[in-house]
Amino acid sequence: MSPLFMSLMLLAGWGIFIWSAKRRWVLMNIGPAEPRWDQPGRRLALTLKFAIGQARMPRYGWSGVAHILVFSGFLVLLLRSLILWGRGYDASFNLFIFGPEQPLGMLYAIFKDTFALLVITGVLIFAYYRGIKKLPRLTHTTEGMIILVIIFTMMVSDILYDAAHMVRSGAYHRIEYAGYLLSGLLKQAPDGGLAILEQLGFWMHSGLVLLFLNLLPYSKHFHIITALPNVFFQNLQPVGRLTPIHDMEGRIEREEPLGTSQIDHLHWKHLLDLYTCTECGRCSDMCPANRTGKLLSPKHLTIHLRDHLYSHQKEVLQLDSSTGGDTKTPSRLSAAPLVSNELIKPEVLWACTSCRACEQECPVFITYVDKIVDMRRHLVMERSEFPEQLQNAFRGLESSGNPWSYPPDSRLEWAEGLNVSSAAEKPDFDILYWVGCAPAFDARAKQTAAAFAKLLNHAGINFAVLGREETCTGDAARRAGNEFLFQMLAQQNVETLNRYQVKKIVTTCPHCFNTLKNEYPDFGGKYEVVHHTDLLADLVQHGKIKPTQSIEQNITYHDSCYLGRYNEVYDAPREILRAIPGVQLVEPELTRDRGMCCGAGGAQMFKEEEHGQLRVNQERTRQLLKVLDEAPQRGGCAVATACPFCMTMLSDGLNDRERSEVQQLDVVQLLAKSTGL
Amino acid sequence: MRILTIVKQVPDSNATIKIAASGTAIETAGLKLVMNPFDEFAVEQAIQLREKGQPVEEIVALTIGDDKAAEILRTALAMGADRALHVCDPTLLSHDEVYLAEILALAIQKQPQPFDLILTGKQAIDMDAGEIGPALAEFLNRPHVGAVVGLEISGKQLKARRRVEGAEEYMEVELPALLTCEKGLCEPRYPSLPNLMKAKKKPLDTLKAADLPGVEKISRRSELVAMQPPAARKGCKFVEGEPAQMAKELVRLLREEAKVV
Ligand code: SF4
Ligand code: SF4
Repeated sequence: MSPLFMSLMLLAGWGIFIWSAKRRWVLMNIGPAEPRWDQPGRRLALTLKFAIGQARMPRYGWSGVAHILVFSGFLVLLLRSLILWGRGYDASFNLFIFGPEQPLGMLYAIFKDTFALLVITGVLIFAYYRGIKKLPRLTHTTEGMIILVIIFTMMVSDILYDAAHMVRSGAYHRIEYAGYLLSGLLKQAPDGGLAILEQLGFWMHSGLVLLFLNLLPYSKHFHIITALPNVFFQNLQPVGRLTPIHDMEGRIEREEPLGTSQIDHLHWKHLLDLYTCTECGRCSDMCPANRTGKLLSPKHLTIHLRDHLYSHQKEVLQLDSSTGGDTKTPSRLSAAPLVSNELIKPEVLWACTSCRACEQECPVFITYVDKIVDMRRHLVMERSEFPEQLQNAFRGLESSGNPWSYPPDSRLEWAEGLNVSSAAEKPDFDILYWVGCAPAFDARAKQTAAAFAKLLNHAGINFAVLGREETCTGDAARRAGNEFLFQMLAQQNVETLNRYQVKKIVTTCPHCFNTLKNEYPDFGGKYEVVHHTDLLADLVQHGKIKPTQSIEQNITYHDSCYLGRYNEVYDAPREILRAIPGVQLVEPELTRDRGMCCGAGGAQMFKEEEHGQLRVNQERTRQLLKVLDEAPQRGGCAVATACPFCMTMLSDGLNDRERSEVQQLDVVQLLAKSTGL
Repeated sequence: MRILTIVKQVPDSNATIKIAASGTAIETAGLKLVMNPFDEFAVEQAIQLREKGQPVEEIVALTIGDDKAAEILRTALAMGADRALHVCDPTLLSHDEVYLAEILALAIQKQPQPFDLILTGKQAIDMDAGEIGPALAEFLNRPHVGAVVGLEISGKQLKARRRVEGAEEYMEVELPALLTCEKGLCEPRYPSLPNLMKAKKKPLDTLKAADLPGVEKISRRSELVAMQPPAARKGCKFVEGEPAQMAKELVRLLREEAKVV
């Protein structure tokens, strides 16, 4: 072939790519430090499973399959590109061991042709989704189609090159079967034409690879490179734990940011997230806010942040690189603030329910809740700008330790006549029942607390409650961005819990559960925390609770985000329901880790819902009613929950839809009923 | 323009109030204390005047109360007041608001510069007397408009809006003046964290009786002699049974027990 031309092409192709990549690298490191090298073994295992092993792909049906085809084809054909580049210098170059007569080469030839064909299949599936089906979750740009055409052409040109080469040299390698089959068609062609075809196939393939490489840093296909590190450096902390801001007062003194207000407040892993987004739209497809017509679409949030970052690339790169990655300085960018009507509107951030459906769905492990809360932190603590109704909740938490400002003295009203002791009265308890604000004050959730206490007494569990010494865990305050208030509450609660030397805690609220379990360890509170459904399922299994009375109903269980996606408690509530005689459990279409949020999380419970077409709870109720209505009718039906907020949201939803004949109960209430309590 | 806001510390409106053993005070142990909500309107309004472009040189927050009352001055400073004054002397405490107003008037007159506008709540939610505003205006000899829900200032002219049964009233006064604030005037802000921190560094001066020569001549005109919890409300009575029976029983009860028909 032509060594000179190949050298020029390689030099230009790799040179420009390295230049682009270096700029992206510097850009990525403008934010604060973020250590992500802990547990390398586990990281490697996750990378092998999810990046190399593509373990999340089957979840996505045919487009997932197509991705596996294209991805594995790329891995296999990487070698082929190297070989072809080498042949620019020496037409018989085969990377020393991959010659068509050598055993490894023969094996590789089969692989190469098979995977080239599989890539073509994958590309055709993608093209179908893009061009014909026009899947709404995708971003429909010409870029997407161009890339598909490039990949397709790379594959075809390679096979063409093989075929033309075989005919011209007369060395037919049947093992390169795709090329061999095609060569049959070319046999009659004049040699001049064949020479052109051979050259064309060769240069197209080896050149397009370089073109493709150079498009990556400027397109959503950057993920081909960045997805690997993005999976490797993913957050290994419990997903329910938000990163605490330490020494807030000191930070204010030193004028350091308390939240994210500028693009360079995002650390490198957050920026790597932005590079890696494939714009597949699966996050927004599952997002309850987006599904109900709110302004929030997680995919677009990422894209807006990424475009903002790229559009300030020049400015950022001019910043003195010696201070790059310095967390101490306030934003060094003069760029417009991130949260503004021009860029990310506040109502986008306030629409998030922190349900994590987006994160569960994202193929490349991009996180959202942390970024959204960080921007809320800025709004609440630095700008004091937030939905008006939240002020009531904040003030209630400050003055009365609960978001509704109920007098703390009335925390135990639900327990009257139920033989419930406080920790002060009974310090030798085995397990502390952390009641939570909703079960303590909300009329309907109080019944959950009462049913649970009855069951505990029935099963002979030695438990106590904190009573007026309990205050809100601060979950809602934290997710609303009021980290300061959250830490005040957390410190106070940890002090109380440690004073009573609490070892084990059970909660009836998934929000309390998550915060106590995953967030209080950061504040010196380390306990064994269980959710009431886990504890009860265990008691049922061991025969300490015997549900005997039949409940002849179709029941659908609604997964609470903070129980399910946040803490992977999916089975315990279902086991309890199955243990109740007569109960027929029916699953909604969106269930378990795809279960849709009720709309209450992320402090939504304490504010008006953002503007949209529908309320989240109305949509979720519709889904639940659908499965109940489609099931063969029996004695009646019910929606079961295991979270007091879900309870409020879904019973409101049922009322809105005028379906009050459908019961709405906590799993524990159903169990108590069947146990005759 | 210089603005003075007068604030008071009161029990949180959701707190459970218990009468102390003395019988003339409430139990304060464990009681959550906050700034009187009507006074919050006063502070917020002062800050908003500045934010909306009025030439406000200084916003001062003033309270009279025990040591703990300094907390609400810090709140006022966090909201945006520039400095605070705390009349804090056990000999000067009283439930007699006219007495307190007279002391406040003295403290205000001792300030090096006069205030153009004084704002305070229309009443404090603990004692509900509502006397501080009008009494203070009297002692300072300035015009007073009570329970204001809106105001406009141009130069020395102040136009205040207040709600009365079935109508709105507009009153014009000339500065210096004193206004008391009613719900609806504005929405008090939630201080941002940096502002809470900055508040710790703003000046807060304490005034003792000794700093107020002449205060000994002021006398209390009334004395709180006793406090009693309100009589417990009787529970509702439900009439049960068949509709016809219930109606009969209801009429009997109204006649014989309630004696209203
Ligand atoms: S956490 Fe839930 S509501 Fe928030 S962006 Fe993700 S999917 Fe949407
Ligand atoms: S964030 Fe993840 S799920 Fe959402 S569009 Fe990007 S790659 Fe797809």
